[in-house]
Amino acid sequence: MKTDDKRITEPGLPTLVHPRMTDKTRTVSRNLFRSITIALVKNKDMLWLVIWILGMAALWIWDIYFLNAPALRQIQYAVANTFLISFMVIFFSTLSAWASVMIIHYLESRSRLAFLHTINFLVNLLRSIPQIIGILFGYVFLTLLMQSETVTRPFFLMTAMAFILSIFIFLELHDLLLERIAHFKRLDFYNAMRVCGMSEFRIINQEILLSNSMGHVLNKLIAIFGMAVFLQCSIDFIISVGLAVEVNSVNFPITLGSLLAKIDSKQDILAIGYSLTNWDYAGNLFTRHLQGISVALLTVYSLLCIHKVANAYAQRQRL
Amino acid sequence: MKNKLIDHAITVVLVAAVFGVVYFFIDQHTRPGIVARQKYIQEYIDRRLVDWDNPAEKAIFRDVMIIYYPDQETYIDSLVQAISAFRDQQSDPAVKDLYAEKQTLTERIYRLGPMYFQFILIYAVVLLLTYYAVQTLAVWRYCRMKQDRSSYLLLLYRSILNRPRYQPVGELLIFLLNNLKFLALALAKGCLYLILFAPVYVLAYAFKTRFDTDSILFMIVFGLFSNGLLITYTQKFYTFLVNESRKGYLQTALVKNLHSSFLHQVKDGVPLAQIFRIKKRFPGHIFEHIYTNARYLYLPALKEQASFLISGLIIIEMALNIQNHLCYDLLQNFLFRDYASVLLTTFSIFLIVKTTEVLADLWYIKETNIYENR
Repeated sequence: MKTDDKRITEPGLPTLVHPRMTDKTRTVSRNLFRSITIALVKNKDMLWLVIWILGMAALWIWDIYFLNAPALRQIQYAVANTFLISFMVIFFSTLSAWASVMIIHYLESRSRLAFLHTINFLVNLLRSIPQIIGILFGYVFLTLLMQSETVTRPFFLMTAMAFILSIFIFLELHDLLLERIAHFKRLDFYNAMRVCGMSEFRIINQEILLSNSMGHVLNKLIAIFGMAVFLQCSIDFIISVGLAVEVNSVNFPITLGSLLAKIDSKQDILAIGYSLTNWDYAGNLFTRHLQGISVALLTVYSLLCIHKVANAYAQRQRL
Repeated sequence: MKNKLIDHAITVVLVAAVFGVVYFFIDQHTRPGIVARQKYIQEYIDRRLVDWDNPAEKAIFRDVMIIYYPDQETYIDSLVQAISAFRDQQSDPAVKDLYAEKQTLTERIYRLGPMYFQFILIYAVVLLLTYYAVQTLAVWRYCRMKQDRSSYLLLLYRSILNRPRYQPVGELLIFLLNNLKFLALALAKGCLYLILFAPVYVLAYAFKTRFDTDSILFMIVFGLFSNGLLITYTQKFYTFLVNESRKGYLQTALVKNLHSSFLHQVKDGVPLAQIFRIKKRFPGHIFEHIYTNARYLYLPALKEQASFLISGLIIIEMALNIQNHLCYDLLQNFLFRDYASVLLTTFSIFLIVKTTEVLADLWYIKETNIYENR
């Protein structure tokens, strides 16, 4: 610090600091920068979140300069729709997992074994159906609803898509919540609170889930977000490639998966393979094949960053 | 153990009953898929304005339609593809016969059987490979963590931060080369991560111009290295290793003078050859206990891994349109509205998942019995 100050005040030495910037402002900005850097290095989950956002912002700026306006608009819609649906998946998954756990707990405590076995059977059945097939069935059902004009507005459509995805994703959260409740029930903690006269509902929701499991739940929700992005992209790609030949007037909202399935995007991705053996062509990937490359990069980069955020968060919270 | 098996058996019987009822209901009340589909495209085929055998006229038809319906590009692409597919099927007697008439259950089983066994074979191979790869990578990563290895970017940052102010040209060159090496390794690692996280359709299209990505070998390779399967479950196994290493019994093991070095080259360390062995053993080392316990804890997660793997394989077959494979056929049946075949395929995949669950449970129970000295 001292050396730097000396260099700045010594006459004849060049300085990179703006002349109007006072010592105090400089110190404040330097300290701010330093504290942000330290905070990011310490909290790697935040660091990865920043890396993710900055990466997407950099790609967006690049696309503004080099990608044609209609394609850019489509990518913007695709990103917005994909992330919006994924956030809605988080909402529905949380709601479904909480509701199913509450029902199971209620049936267990009241010894309603027949209902309990039925619920467990349904949950196990959902677990045994590969997610992608279940979602495919859901989308076929959604197509039928669209054909009968029951669902027409894009927002309702996206909500329905998120709901279908959440049916096959919420089980992860459901298992986690049950595990947390079972863990705390084994401790004296639970019985002590019951003896104090607290209701089971409050113990489970307030003391176990809200106060002692938020870290676990948040970590799972981040993972669910990543899973939602992956499954949604995959199902949209499959539908656009395979089921789109089904002739109907139904069009799903544009997402990263469906945009990637477009012939232009596929040709852009094919160019990656071509440039592996023709190095001189690689430069064109960043200008001429930007639509497909951008969509693929956004998908893969987002999946990677979400995974890193979830892991770093788990590491920080020692989950 | 008995209860678990009964649970699984009841589930299979109940699901089989439900599928059976729905199957026969659908089979009785639906028309063959190709007939249902034909009505949508017949009017376009009947119009003699377009010569569908001429690619140029087909392209002009598409462009004209897009001019009239600019918001319906996907639909128009679908329409053109559907007409082409329909005409191809009309000219191929085998396919025409296949979808033109309703199939019986036996005919469907006969048609799906070979594809089903092929799917099981690929699934079993990839499951075994991922099980081995997940553990190997997690153990390797754990050893690296114990060796206090920093990331390449951090090494680069430290190297730049601690650079000497004045140095001769030779040393400066070595300094630059070292930094370049760190940068190249960091970039390679980043690319590897991107590849491992890439959904299969991105990877397959990226390599399609170089390789025939429709072969069984490529299905196995894609199943192993795409969709983030490997990295997700490696992370899971690694977490089990880290959690085990925090437990108290390790302090006892250290007091008992078990080896605790995680270097590869030293005598009391963890040799690389052992990490890459199928049956990993680390006798006399504390890691033997960490690994064994983590492996036991991982067994229930095997069901989850298997389910994710099946989803991945289904995505591969559907997204890459790999013909004569079970899930491509499933997609075609969706397309031809042959829902009876769809149900049959779905039930067959359900049986694979269930069998894996039963085997994983049996293995877990067997290991538990060993742990509990029963």
